[in-house]
Amino acid sequence: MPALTVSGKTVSSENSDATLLRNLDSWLSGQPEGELHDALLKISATLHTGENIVVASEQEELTPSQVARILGVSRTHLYKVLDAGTLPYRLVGARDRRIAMKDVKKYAERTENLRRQAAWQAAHLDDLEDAAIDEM
Amino acid sequence: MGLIRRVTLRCLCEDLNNDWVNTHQRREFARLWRLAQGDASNSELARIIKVLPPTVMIDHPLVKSFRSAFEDDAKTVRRESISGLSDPHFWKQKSNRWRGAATEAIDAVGDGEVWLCAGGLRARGDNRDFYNQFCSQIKARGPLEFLPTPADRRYQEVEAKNARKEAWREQIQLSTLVCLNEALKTSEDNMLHVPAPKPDSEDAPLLHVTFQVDRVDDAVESIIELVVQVHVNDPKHMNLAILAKNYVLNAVEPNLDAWNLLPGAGTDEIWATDVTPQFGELAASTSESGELPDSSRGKWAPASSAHYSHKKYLVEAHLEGDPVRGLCGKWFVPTGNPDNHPICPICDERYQALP
Repeated sequence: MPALTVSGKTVSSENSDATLLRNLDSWLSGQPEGELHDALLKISATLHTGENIVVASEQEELTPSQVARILGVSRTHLYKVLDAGTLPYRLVGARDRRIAMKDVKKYAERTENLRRQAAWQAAHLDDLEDAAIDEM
Repeated sequence: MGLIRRVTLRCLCEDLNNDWVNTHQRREFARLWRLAQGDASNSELARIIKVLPPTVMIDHPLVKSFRSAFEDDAKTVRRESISGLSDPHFWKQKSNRWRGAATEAIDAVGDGEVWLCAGGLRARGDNRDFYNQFCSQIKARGPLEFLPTPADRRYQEVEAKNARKEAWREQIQLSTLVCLNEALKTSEDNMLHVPAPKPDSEDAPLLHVTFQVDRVDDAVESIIELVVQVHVNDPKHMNLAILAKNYVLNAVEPNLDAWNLLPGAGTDEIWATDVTPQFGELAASTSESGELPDSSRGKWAPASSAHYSHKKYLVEAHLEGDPVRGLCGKWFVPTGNPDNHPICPICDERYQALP
């Protein structure tokens, strides 16, 4: 089964998806806890915040567009990463590329760490400027 | 060229014990003097120095008169020697109630420098008179205790490093705009090799930066996307490398939220942002004039929008200066007062949708 993308936007308005999500929430609250229960809760909570959800098994492969959406970047930006060989992919036909879900997951974690670090650096530029004096 | 005018830290902290307009500055100079005599690192000194004026600009009557007596075009000022002192020679310095001694003797302070070395209150005829005391102290113990000390020279050296760092920043930001202008014109990748600040710039470059420009044309408009790849070439100078990277990026787009970041090979970083036509014009005019626009100061623009995040994380992060992830997915360091900023639209939408 190919990976499914559910847009958070469609759920945040009052429609059948929203009703379905509410029903899921109330049904879940009566179910025994466990890993699957946590996963379903997480899906519901994420859709409530308006973020997109990609449902895929670890073995499954995603298209560059899907991966770009997960990472919140443009396709041009993602292609640079693929071209650099940082995120492994498989060619389908002449030029279509597919990326394994398990690689996306690992790469997304690396991305979050790096973004966190970059935000820290940008906010502490003054301190870095002082510290850099010792390297001169 | 004019003389470099400085006041010794000892004179500032011991002799000028009154009449400071800014007493906070006085306390900070005392702290600087103490640290510069001890084993504090240069970066600790730099942290104090950057919020202090140069010694010659201090708002004190004696320093003011010293400042104008040795101004570039002060040849017409009549200077008076302190009689009886020749090794080294000292000039008298005067304000209303202050008297002082300054020297530009090459043997004592080096070429091209003049130092205000001592000061005291005027008390003519009295043996507390400044010039009487100054002369008898020098005759008894020699001039060394009044001349610039290693602490003064360290202070001067850190100031010089700071100035070199500023010049280096301007060079980086200017080269960035020139490179980018080239990349925009030719649509070809352009590389920038960022050197370490002088005089170490003979070393291998700190950073390799690649600019790639992509035009995405759709029916409505044409968007120019810029991808910047940053490779740290000299990990021994990590702080300088991080600074250089930030200078490159904020010369292009000073709003951090407008950038997207992905990790590349190793520790490489791949940044991307959309380039506006206005920015293209700025890059072109800067390349032509060779002068940075006033807006480029190497700083990131203060946050322009406020993000929502979990309250528990926000309080802790604000205290520690740590980044938190907003509902929109952007990482940010919370500041004291987010109420002044409009709320990030993506965060707002997601916040409203929360159960």
